[in-house]
Amino acid sequence: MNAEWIDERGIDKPTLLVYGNCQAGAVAAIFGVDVVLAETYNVQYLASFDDRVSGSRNLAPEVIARTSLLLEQFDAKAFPYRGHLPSHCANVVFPSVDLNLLWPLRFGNPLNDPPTEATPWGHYPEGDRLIIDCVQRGLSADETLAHYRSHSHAHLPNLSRYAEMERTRLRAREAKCDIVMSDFIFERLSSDRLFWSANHPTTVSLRELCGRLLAAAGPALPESHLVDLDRSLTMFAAEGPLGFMSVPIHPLIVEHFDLGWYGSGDGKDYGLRVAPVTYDEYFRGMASIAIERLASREAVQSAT
Amino acid sequence: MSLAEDELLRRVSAVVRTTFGLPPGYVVSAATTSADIDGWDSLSHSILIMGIEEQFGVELPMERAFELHDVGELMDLIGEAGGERGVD
Repeated sequence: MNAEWIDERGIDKPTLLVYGNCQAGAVAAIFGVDVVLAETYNVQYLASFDDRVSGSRNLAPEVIARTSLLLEQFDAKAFPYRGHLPSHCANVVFPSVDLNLLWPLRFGNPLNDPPTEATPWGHYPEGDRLIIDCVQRGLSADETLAHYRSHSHAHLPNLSRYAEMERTRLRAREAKCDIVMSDFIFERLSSDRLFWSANHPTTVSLRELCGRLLAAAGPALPESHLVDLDRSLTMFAAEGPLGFMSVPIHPLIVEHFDLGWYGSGDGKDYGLRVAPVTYDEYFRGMASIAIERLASREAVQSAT
Repeated sequence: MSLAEDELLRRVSAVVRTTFGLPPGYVVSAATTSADIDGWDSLSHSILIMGIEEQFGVELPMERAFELHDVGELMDLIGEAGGERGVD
């Protein structure tokens, strides 16, 4: 999330505060560049996590005290300043827009490269269980890739069952929210690219989320009918605020869910923003970094 | 803990370790919660449940699978779903 997305000029305006993960940051960024909203509100984003890009933000008490609308992503870490909100503040709770269905081998990569300024989450924060397992068993990058090609299909879950599992997961969370997104996600999954990775929605999904937030805000946001989301989205790169990383999708999953929009060469690791890589290149890169990391750790262990 | 429960925990622990990339020596107990394990979030929880279903050859009731608070409750759910046959 770029720091310049945060509009801090309108200190005397009522605050439109968006709280949550990087998706909330994207929502704040989209609303923050809308002419009407930016004129009327001080649009602010508060991260619910250790945001290494925009930095952890502690909002000034006077900014919180002027909040007229809190768009709050449902999160295990509840909004921390609830007691400081004015009594007239309206609150819309929205779900995280995420879906693991297209990446069932995903897990937090224990052998990712360390963060740098250019890659604050390393190149491959979204690990692949089978790739990392191969590396941990001592396979080379070429051997890992060959094993992946020939064996990964056997590690995929029952995809129909898993789809129901994911639908249930989303609905269980949405039961605690004021808006839902799972209907949209499952209706459009085959026809539109909705996610770059499990928790990075594309512009298509973010636009829908923003539209539903505006509708849910109702009288708390009387200017909502004047908001031009399409215009706001043109202010971002074509891939949208969260398209800086794209995780390839397994060919069997593409086939099973009939993902006609998917191209085989549209993987992007974090830091290769200009040049998408192929499925093989992406996983070879993940394996190569994991091998380096494992060797580095073993060297440290043997030295101590 | 009975021998059957011990074996159940051992097998559940193996799935938890695989799902979240934990080192082999990482101790998972019945009291282990998602807060104890890096990466055990709502996204990865469904993968854990899929792994458990495969390991024990059962289908867990989905709604309840997303209301679990710790590994002990997951073990109870496996037992209720008929997964105890997996530890004979």
